[in-house]
Amino acid sequence: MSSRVTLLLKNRKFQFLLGIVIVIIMLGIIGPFFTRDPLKIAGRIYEPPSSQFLLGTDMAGRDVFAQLCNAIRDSLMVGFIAGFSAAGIAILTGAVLAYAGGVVDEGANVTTNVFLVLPQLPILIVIASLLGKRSLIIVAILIALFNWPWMARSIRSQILSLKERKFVDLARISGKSDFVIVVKEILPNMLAYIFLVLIISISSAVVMESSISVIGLGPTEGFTLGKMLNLVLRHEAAQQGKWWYFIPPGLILVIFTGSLLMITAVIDNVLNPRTREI
Amino acid sequence: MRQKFSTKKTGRRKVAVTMIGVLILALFLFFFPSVISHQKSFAFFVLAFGALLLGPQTIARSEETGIKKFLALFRDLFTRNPFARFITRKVFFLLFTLFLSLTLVFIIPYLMPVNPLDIVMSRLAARPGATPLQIETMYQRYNVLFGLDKPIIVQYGLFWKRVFTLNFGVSISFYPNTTMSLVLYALPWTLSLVIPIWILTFIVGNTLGGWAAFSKNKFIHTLYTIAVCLNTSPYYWFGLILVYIFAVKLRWFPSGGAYNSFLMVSLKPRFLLNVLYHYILPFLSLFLTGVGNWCTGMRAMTIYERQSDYIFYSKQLGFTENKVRNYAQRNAILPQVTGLPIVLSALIGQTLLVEYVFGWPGLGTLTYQAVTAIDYPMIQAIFLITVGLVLFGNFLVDIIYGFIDPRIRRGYVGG
Repeated sequence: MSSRVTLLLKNRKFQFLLGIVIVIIMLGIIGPFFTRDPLKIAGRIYEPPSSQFLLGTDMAGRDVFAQLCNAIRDSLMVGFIAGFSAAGIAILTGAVLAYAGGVVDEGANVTTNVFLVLPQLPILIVIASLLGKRSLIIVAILIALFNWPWMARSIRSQILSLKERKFVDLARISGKSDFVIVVKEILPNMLAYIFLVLIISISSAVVMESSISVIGLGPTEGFTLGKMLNLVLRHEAAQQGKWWYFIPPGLILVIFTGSLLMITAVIDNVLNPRTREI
Repeated sequence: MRQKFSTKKTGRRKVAVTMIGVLILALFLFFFPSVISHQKSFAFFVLAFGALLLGPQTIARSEETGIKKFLALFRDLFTRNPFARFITRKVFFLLFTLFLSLTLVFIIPYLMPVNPLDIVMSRLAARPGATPLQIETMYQRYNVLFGLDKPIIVQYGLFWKRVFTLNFGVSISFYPNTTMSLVLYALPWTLSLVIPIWILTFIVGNTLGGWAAFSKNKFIHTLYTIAVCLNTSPYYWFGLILVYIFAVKLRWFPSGGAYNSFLMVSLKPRFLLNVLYHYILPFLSLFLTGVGNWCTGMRAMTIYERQSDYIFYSKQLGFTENKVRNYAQRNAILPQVTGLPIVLSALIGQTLLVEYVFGWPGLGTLTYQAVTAIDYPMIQAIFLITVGLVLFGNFLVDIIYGFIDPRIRRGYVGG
């Protein structure tokens, strides 16, 4: 296992991409301590970027950079909570389904099919519109609820293929229970895969949060990237040509999700012996 | 015997092509509620669709007549004909999905600690300028629609009644209009974005991905990389950038709306051209970000096929490069087709947001208005329509898949 990690860490591309992701995360964690209060009116309306305001000010004269740092923190929080819980549900159900078989498996298969077909965003809109107050955690849980089926399905098929391997047979012959086999034999062997699923899950949760926030149904507390974009749209900042206000939140989203996706590609390249470049 | 068989086959094809024409006409009718009502055009659409599926079967059974023919047709649906069996199975799955998803939407509010409609009412009451009388009438209207004082099973029945009669009451945000008339007015605008983008991104993306797998051309690889990069950007944000560049800086295109406000909605070329002029930016922002969806998958699948035995064999036989590529791509496209439904359901969500960005008068803008006005029946109605759309698209893809897969196709066009 550790040899695989060192193999990854030696990869130049991986170092670069990981660096970008860490910079963005740090901007979210450390940034809010050093910037102004994002809701305080600090300057004139729509001031262009300067040394005083790194990214200018918005339509009320508030610091855009301060808003951005806070937004990154809250967006990532939603993304991580939703991503981890969705992946957790997916691993649990995937493992249970792979081992249960029969009617349970069949029924769950139909259910995942149903979930895969349903348009996520409209469902989230229907549910979120009913909640008057939406905390970051509630939004994260909502996103997780509709994000796990595809992961559960792919984890199930991975476990099914690992189940047929010799080492699992050996463990079964030596009298270990199914639970022990899954936890001690199968899951450690698909750690890389689980890691990939987790990354994709986090990045899609961040994107989903921004999507529901844009239409005005995101968390009512906090300040996420989607909420910034919602303000941009409501005040037609793009139509007025205020590039310093509408470009940064989207750009951060692009860079963050883009580098996460490229990291998954690199991991696949490095760890998969068939595609590894020698 | 052989002769007879082949004429039967071409006859079936003719019927199928005619029916597809009728179907497109039925879709087109949705744009003109002033000429023919939505309910009528919907019924027409369903009839045309049923005829498309079953028409060729009636020709196949031409030796039987009258009621016997009808019965044989019905029997075929469940037993003999592989195509009909395939379709029946799919219809049942879709009906089940529709049932489950709508039930989910009904149940979720009741799992919450507070009655959701109380929340809606209290938020309505908190709106500035709301008089007690208005709130009382609003509550009465909701009560009739949702049956709040009745047991939950009756409320569930009322929910399905709303779904089947498409009656979601009078809109809160646009008072005299009914909710459904507003949703049905917005639907064609949304479809005019969703359908072309769904089809065009599939064609362009797969072509590009297939090229990228075979060609060493620098230009194609640059295009491929650009498409994949654009795919990671949030489409609505990309739309904002297009607005900034093409509407604000260059002033080539309008920044929002679907037509100039001084023009009347009509079929005149002047109006249609104006709509087209407004259509370009929203179309581009969805299209350019959507192409990358298909590229990566198609490239990977083609590369995978390229390494398979039959490709080596045909190369050994001395087939031309084009022919070999054609074989590989024909096999690579099959799994791509199964991805179409998932892309459709994502695309609908994307379109909702892009419409909102551009002020395109479709379901997205309506959703935003419904959300800000807390118009819950309207949100439910929009959800119903979008789910219906996605499920119908699914069904369509299944049928197309049936046509591509020769084992299933045999049942439709004959051996």
